Amino acid sequence: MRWMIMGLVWFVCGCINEDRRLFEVELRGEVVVVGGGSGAVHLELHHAQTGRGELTTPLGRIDETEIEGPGETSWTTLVPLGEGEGLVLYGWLDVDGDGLLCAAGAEIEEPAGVVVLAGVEHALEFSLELGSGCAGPSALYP
Amino acid sequence: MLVMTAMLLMVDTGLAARVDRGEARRAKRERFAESAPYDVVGGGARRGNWAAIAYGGTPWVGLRALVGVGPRALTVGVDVETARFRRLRAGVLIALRWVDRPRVRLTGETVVGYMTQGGELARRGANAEFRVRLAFPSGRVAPYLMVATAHTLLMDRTIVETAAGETRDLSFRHEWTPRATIGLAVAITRSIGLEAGVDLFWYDAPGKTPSLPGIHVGLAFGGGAR
Repeated sequence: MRWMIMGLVWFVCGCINEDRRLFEVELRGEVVVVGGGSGAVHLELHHAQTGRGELTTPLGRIDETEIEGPGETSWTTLVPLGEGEGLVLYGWLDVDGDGLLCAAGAEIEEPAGVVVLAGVEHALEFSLELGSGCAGPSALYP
Repeated sequence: MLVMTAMLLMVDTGLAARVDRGEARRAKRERFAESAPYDVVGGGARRGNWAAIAYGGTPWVGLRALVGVGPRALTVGVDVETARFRRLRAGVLIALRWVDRPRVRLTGETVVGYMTQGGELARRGANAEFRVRLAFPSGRVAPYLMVATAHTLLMDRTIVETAAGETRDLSFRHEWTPRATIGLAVAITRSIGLEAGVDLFWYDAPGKTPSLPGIHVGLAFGGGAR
């Protein structure tokens, strides 16, 4: 019996192909549009930096969501550990409701913004201001 | 009467000589039928016989040893191979000859073991491979073909850290590697010989691109009641 248990433990431990650790984060905060505006807000959570050594690069998208509009919100997501450092929240206001940030030919400037989150904790507070027209995350950070 | 007897005698002698020559030719062709090199490329070994092969090439280097243990050349053995020392597969094998004639050999082989691969595409898991070997021994040479389908079970573990604690989940993926080898074995004696072949692999099929062909040469040897 003991050998069977040891064999089973060896099989399970020895045959694990990949261990993936995810860290649950609940983001709570407010989205504010500079100058006002309405529409859905698209939020993206990024690692502040990914890669190692000479291959280090800013930003690395983890997850995205859409909320009904500016104001108080909360969002629970999973952050993969060991794949990057720091957290950055990016958002933009979908003024024309087309689901695209400043699509070609669109005359409306859709405001965007980023906020750097303090560490990687299970509960994080933020205040995100959307004030830069048509800016993608890499234009705003670092 | 005397002339007729003499003619019949000549015909009879000629036939006998032709039969003798035919038997000699067949004996010559089948002399190495149970040699160790043919056991390793054609699969299976008769009860009490053993055979092994050490081979090297690009990308594969390996060692296989087998011993006959039962009827119909029921064989057990071990099989270890590595590709550039990045991918290692070790397993135990069991084989049975389906067609067992001096000049045609068809064998089914199953290898069960463990595969581990390092580097950027690191993976590991339990592995099973099903092979069919077909060899045509004739005299000192035996062309052969081996086709196989290898399957690796990749078990992933996801650990989620929440404020309340950890949760763990297992998920499973499958890596399929069809492969084929075509080659030629040369028996130097019944106990020793050489073998060379071309290896075709398709790792992680059908999602990935088929791999470049490989080549290998091997030294086969064996013993027992040959």
